[in-house]
Amino acid sequence: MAEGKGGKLVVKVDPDLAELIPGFIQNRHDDIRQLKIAVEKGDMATARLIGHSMKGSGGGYGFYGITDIGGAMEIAAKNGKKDEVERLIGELSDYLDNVEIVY
Amino acid sequence: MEKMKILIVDDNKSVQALYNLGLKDEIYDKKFADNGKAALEMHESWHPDLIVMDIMMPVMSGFQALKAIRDGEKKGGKTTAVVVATALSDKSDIIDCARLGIQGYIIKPFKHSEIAARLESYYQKHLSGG
Repeated sequence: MAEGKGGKLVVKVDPDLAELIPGFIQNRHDDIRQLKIAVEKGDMATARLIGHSMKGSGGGYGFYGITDIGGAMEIAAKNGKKDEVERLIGELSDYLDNVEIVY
Repeated sequence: MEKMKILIVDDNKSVQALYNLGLKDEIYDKKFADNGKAALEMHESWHPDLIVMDIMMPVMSGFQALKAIRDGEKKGGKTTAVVVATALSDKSDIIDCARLGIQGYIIKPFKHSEIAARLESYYQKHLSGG
């Protein structure tokens, strides 16, 4: 990962994965929606599961930043740190807004 | 030659897509399950050669599903090869599964281009009794 023009995060992705990338990004936006609902309910078990799931998938697509955010979210949710989970949701949202994919 | 039947158990659709890409249709007969409970049902009805099992899943965990499979095999029948795949929330997860009997493990995230070779290696070792 490198910083590109305008502060964009440039991620180089295997061209074999090109067709799957829109679905992957959409699934992470769905994660954000589910995480916000989970935080509202104080449901840290769901937040932990989503974080764990992101940790296991991001790097497979080249998005190691998502794996890192997911891993941190899993730990925060496991420890009941709701504020930290909220901060990481914002970090994930910023990441998705700023990532630039190159093949 | 008959295709190897692989049951992939993972609640993450993005991870399922990576398995689907890495395991070519020409070589493998694949089915997918979203949790351990669905995996048990498919194991009963489809009899896969190899199961790739995530551990932390909703409804029923991979550990619970593996335990049910191994308990069922004690009553007779062949041992199904099981490889666990985990994003390692706790190393004891793999040890607990290993005690029930697994043929290997994969740490997620993984590269789709490497998954077929990893699974073949574990499966051939299983066939040779290793």
